[in-house]
Amino acid sequence: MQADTLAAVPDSLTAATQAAVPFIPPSNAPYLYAAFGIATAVYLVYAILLITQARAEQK
Amino acid sequence: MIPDAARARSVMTRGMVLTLLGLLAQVAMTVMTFAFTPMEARQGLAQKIFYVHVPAATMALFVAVPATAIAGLLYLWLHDVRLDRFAAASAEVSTVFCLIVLLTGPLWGKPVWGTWWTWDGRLTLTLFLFFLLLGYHTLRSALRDPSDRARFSAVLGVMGLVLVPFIHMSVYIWRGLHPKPVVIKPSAPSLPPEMLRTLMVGFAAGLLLYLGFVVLRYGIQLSRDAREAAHAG
Repeated sequence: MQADTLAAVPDSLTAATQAAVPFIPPSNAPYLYAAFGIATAVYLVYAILLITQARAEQK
Repeated sequence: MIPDAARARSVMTRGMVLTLLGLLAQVAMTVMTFAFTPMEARQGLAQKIFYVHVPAATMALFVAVPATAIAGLLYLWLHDVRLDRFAAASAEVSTVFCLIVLLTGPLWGKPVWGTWWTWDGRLTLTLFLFFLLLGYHTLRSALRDPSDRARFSAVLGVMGLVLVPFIHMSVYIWRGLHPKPVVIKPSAPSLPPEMLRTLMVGFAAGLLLYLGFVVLRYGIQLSRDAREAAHAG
């Protein structure tokens, strides 16, 4: 299905250098910001939920 | 053992401290990701999603779900309510990590693969694990008898652990799109040291958050149990 038509990425990571490279990585920063924003929000909301419950229990 | 309100307060305080340390480590990892970690040559900035996705997946698969299962197995053997309380807390935190994995994965898949989702073995089995964890919480809230609740949920917790090796090995067993591990594998990590350093801070943040969340949830439940025991007494 989709898996047959999509290209897999290599199994190792390589840092981009300052030197000119023939391939310019796509501008995909919004996905990065969204991922960090969502993950941080989930952690924060869960932490606040637990700390609020704990504070209520401690009173 | 009769739950003790003073002990519950102390446990919750420790949980809060660990959680705050975990959040601080998460902030440090985010700063390192954006300011001090190089961009990957082929995938561009989206590759940096790795630093939030991989620690969450590692904590879910190699820490939280196994801890839930081991506590469940020990409960089935020893019938100690503390083990059930711990298993329930660990399962809840597993669900949070699993949710983050399932939310951040597609955000990497869209720019790199060109699709939000594909029914790859790794992705599909992780989704199954998430559903199993939701089933765990549904089961616990549906059962009123504490002994039945602990026993049945312990069995379901062990089922979650059964999925873990299949999820980890799925990238080797089936021909799929998900990249193979670059760190948790028999050979040396296949990424530059500056990327590995940020990932390690991500792992530390994940572990602190796991411990903080579990200790907090455990303490909250201990406090509730102590109150119920006081009312019953």
